[in-house]
Amino acid sequence: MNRTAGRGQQPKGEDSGARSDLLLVQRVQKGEKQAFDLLVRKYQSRVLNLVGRFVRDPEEAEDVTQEAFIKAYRALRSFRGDSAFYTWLYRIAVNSAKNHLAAQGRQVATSDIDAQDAEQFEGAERLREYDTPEGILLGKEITRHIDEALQALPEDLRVAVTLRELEGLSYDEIAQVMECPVGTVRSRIFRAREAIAKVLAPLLEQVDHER
Amino acid sequence: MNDETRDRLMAFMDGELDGLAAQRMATRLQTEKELRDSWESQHRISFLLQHGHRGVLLPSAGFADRVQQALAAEVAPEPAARAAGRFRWIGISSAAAVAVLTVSVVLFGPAGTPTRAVQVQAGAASPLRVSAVMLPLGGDRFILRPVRLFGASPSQTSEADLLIQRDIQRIWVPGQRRLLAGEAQRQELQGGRAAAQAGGLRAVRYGYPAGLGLQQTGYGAGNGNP
Repeated sequence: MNRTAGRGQQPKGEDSGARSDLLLVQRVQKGEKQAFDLLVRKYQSRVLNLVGRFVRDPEEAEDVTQEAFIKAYRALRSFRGDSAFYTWLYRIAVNSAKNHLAAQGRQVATSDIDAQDAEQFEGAERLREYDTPEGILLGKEITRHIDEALQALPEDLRVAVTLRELEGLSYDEIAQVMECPVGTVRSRIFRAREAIAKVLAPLLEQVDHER
Repeated sequence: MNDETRDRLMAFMDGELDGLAAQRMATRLQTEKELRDSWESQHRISFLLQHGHRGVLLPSAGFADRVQQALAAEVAPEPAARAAGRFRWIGISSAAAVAVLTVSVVLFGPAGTPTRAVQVQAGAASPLRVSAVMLPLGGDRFILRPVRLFGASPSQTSEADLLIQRDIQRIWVPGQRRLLAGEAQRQELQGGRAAAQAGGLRAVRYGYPAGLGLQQTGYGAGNGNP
């Protein structure tokens, strides 16, 4: 399966999801902490991996990620929606990671990379990947499980989720390609992700237990 | 999860729910664990599909819960503009309090002499100030009028205030613990009513009981009060 076409590309849905992010941010600003929990659950993987490109130790990276979310929460007063929330959040995460390294007297491992690029997760793709032996092994395992899960999916689900996640097409574009309503596309992608989640669940639990 | 909820969740994830529908979905996500778990799972699998082919870090189980716990003691943020607006209104309210809320509470005792004076100032930042002169009287209490009107000219004195002053002078006699004045005062009261009914004005001279240390204030004819 071609995994290169959409690689490093911000899914189009991520940009349109910015509207929902802004709605949640406004709720947080009104005092609804549960709304921030939704933002944490949405961005935890992305922020952790962004931080992980600076802070190599997984446990440290997770601590810095938590610190970044807390800083973001405290700073939400100053967020006015001039930029997308995730851009703003990534900037806080990168600064948190750099500060963490500086506080420990360690040099930022990505000094040869334009720091501005790291503020966008797309730019961070050009930073060193998580290439420890464990990371490589886990990547291979995840790839294998995902490929197996994709192959087991009905064709309409597989095509929909592939066009979305690997090719980066919008729901409208997928609807045109598949000649079906957008609602049907959404349903297919949702069910495909659920099916993949079931296949990946044992692997993810195993990884968590080995920590 | 039914098809409609699933469709709305996906639309919300994609930022394609508008207005009330988006607010409803946000509320449901905040309150329904099953929906919130689904939100988290959909985002995690999406991330893994896009980036899982190489080494990725996975948040440990319960990461979001731990962040939530860490934030439990935090005060909810709010936009700076709203905070500034709130302080502006506090300032306006305080200014209004200076003009309106200065109140004097006076208690009269048998001797008509103040036994203690209490002055309460509601914090250095607040101009609210309440003056009270308390006298031993077994619990009887009269609220007179704002202290700013003490000694004010008759033209600045309200009709209601004058009526209260008059009733205190005519009906309630300090130190006697009785609510009705003597025969002379009763006649004066009736005379005042008769004059008021006739549409005329009557000059009445009122005075504060001895011991209060207040100068007598006279209200002449033409002040519009009976």
